[in-house]
Amino acid sequence: MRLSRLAVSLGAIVALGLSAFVGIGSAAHRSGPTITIATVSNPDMVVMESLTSQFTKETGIHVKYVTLPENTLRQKVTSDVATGGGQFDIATVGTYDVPIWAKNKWLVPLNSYFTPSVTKSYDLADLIPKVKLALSSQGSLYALPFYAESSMTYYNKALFKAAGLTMPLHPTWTQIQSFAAKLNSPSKNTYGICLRALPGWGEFGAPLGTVINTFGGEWFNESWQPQLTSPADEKAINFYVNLVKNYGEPGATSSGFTECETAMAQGKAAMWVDATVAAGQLTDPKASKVANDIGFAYAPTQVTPLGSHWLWSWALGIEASSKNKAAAFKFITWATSKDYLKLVAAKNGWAAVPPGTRVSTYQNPNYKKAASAFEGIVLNSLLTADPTHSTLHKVPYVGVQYVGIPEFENIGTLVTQDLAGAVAGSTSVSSALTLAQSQVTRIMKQAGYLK
Amino acid sequence: MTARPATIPPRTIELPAAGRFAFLRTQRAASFALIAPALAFLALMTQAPFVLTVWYSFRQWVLTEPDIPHKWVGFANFKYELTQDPIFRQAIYNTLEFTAGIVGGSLVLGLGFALLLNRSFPLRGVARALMIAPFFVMPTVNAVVQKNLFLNPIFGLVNWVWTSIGFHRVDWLAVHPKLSIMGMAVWQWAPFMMLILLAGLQGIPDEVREAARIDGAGPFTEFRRVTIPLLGPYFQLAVLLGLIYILQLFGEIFVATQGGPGTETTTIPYYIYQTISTANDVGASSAQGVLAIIFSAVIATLLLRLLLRTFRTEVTA
Repeated sequence: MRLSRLAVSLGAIVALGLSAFVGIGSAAHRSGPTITIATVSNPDMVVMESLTSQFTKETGIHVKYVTLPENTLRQKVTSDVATGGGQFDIATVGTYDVPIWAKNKWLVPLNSYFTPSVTKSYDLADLIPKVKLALSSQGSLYALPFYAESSMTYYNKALFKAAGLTMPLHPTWTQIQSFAAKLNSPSKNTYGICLRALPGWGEFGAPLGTVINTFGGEWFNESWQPQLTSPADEKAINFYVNLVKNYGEPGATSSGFTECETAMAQGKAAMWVDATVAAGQLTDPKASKVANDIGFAYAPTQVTPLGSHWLWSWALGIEASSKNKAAAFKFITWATSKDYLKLVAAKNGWAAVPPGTRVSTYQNPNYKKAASAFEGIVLNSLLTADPTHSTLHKVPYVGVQYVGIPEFENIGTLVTQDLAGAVAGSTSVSSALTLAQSQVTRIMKQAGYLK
Repeated sequence: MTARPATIPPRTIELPAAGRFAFLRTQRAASFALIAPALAFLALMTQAPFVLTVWYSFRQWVLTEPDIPHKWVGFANFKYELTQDPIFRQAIYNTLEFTAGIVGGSLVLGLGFALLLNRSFPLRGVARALMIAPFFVMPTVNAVVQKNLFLNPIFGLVNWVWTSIGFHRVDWLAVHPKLSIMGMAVWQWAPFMMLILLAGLQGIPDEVREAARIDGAGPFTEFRRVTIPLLGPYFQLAVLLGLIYILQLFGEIFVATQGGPGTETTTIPYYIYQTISTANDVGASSAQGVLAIIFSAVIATLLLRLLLRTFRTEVTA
């Protein structure tokens, strides 16, 4: 009897004591405002998180990180802003989200914060114009770019040399297919090409979109009718699916960006067409087995060079429901400033600097030296990727590898899911496309684009 | 020790007071008034999410499109899901298939393990601890490890063994997605079934077994006529508990196949997740949630009735 009473009273004291400590602990941090940032866990963001102590030292503002995978992040931040939750001050948004969220008034327009002195110290003019445009809506800038990427071709120089092949600087998809056929040797566990086929509008959908564009097709015509069963689209999609099925990596339907990067870095794939941001990782001997054998070329084209390589940027925007807008603005200008880039370079070297945001990065001799093999291709790709002119025929939407309407998240995911069934061999491409066409038509009718 | 009194004095009974609102002044009303706050809190905490879901299922609300009006649409969401949405009906079928496969598979495997562990042998405690271990692995960890280490077609262990035996490489998650997911889940749930059935087996008294042996029953007959009927209640418990959890299977599907090639591994929970996270459609996903609850309740009731009937006849025979 006495022992249990002792135990209960001890437990109560411990519990109360701990709660008192928690109270004291949280009070001690109240010296400056605390802002909450929602971000994805890409390597560059992880570096940003590790360098945030520098920001807190300079400004006294504490930053709390909420790191989530891309789909979950988008969903959480969407429900937060749509319901006015105010849980996050800064959201990591992409070029797809910015125009939609700006229209819904979920992001704070930044023009009023850029006073002449701030504009000069931040050097707003240094931001790459195309990227700045992609993050603006109706003439106002809504987010500052953290990094930007396009897409390009990676290939294994050793495998190419052994087969007596040379990769041209501007390959066509037909050439890629013939290379893949020659380099595909499943018995040796190396595959001709690795291409994403993991369902998702931002996974399979991204390279698929560029292939549709460059084959002369489009997602919707000028009257918003889905074009998935048009001749050009069918040709493009059949090409992609057959390329992956015949000469691509096994497990394609579970292969997104990460899986293909691993396959490439392990020397299991001879070619890979994907985001330019992987160049740093693939050439890093600590992360890649074939760091010295990686070659670079522009993204393949076919009928037209328009839309053959995409434009994407992860950017930092301030939520409209934030209560610490000024502090949030200080953070986003710090994380995208020239000084931040110098900070990363000092820690991890110039090749690991977040790419694609500032013209000055590409004029910096240190960066040019460290990233000499690919920075020229990356910069040119970024400068020529135009979300407003990415298809052969005129279209009513913007976006290279996506369609800039809120319904596209759903559409892209459904279509890529149907097509993944074709890649896996459980349906044919034409039946998958017929199903996809009917699903997309229904969604467009419900959303009011089609009558 | 004090001596107990010979008689226990009767309790005094309180007579209800007189008057119109007399019932408010009774003992019962007083007790109710004291419990009421806690009861209200409990009701709110447990029922509020469900009530809100039902409320949203009758409305139309898409998060990313403030232009579409939030209005009352009655049963339109339900009608759409049940009659026009091809994926939801496929999801119902997939859910049934997965649940049957996983519950059945883990039950059979669990029974086998329980029978083995019922005998005493050296290091039985260690063996039992190892057998229980898979149940404590978190579902997402299980799925990540299985997807990347075992089932990966290029680097995976399963393919290494498979090709060593002499077969061709197989892309398990793409060609046999349902089987892969069921395998992952059975690996995880067999220990759960094993634990319940082991408790049941150890509750079978030895005298019954001896009596069966004396009457001339061989091991198989003993198993069929004695062990299985006596395990009846345990089977019911295992199946019911397993059903409740396995109907909600989500982690493995989310990590390994993301709904599978096409819609092959899209189950109801996964489809609800997809509707709210990519389509941002609160109304439709709430309607799916309500339908899922109805569906689970129906399945559970039917199964329970079936099991009760099977085991009742067995025992009385």
